[in-house]
Amino acid sequence: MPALRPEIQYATLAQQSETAQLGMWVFLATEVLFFGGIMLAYEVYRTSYPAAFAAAMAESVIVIGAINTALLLTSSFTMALAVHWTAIGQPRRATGSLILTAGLGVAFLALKALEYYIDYQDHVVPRLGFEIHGVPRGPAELFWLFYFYATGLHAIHLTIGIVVLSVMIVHSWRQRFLPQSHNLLEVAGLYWSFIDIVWVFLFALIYPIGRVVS
Amino acid sequence: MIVIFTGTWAILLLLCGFNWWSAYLPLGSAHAVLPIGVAACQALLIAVVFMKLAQGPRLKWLFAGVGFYWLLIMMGLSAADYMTRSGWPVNQ
Repeated sequence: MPALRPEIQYATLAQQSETAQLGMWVFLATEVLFFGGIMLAYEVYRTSYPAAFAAAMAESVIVIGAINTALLLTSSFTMALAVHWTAIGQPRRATGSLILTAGLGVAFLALKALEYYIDYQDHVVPRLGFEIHGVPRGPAELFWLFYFYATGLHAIHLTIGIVVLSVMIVHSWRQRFLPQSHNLLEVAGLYWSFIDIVWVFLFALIYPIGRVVS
Repeated sequence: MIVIFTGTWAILLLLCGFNWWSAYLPLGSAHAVLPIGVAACQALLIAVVFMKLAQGPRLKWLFAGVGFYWLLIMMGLSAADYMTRSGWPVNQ
């Protein structure tokens, strides 16, 4: 069992925990600007070419997008439960919840891979037999470039999150997290939920927004 | 706490369903902003409940808010640029 005392530079465990969380929020602020820049560029071009973007967007598989959103929202819920159960001293439940969270992340990636395959079959992958009718090809192809760039970067972040969660599962299984001290898990939870936040914005921008040009 | 988490999860799923449904609604100009508004509500719920912004020191609000403040500056100034350009949008 680890000793219940803070690192040497902290006065209390509570101060150590707050510092770790504030550090993660600083990192997440840089991530907000990273994804924010991509979304800003996307909105500039979507507003510039609404008809072409709407036509291209109509080819996206909104069913898989919506199911994936539900999967990630559920994973944020199970992640929050894992942190909660650790804080009240129920490590077995916490471990189970972490395994479920990672499993939902893997399910998201599997569905995303299926979606990419359907996109390839639908001839909407830029430079790989791209086809679209009735609207200018260039702006429509631009939509799909943004789609693969943004969802690909998100998938990389999610993969990193799954690797981090795998480490958390081992720690939780070996009961290394204590109710009074589980900073690693708290910080991992913040990162995981942030990936979820990025996805709800990506879902809104890629699938429903401007799909019906009225 | 578990009741709050479960209730938040249910609301988030409902909002997800609404955003999916909104893709097919004839909403006019609102169609361009409604999904983003719903996503912003979802993000706020996740941050406040699941990321526990509502608990702990208020300093967390500052650290969490500053990223979005910088984002607003970037988006606001960019929008001001594009919306005052002559000949933009380019295809109209």
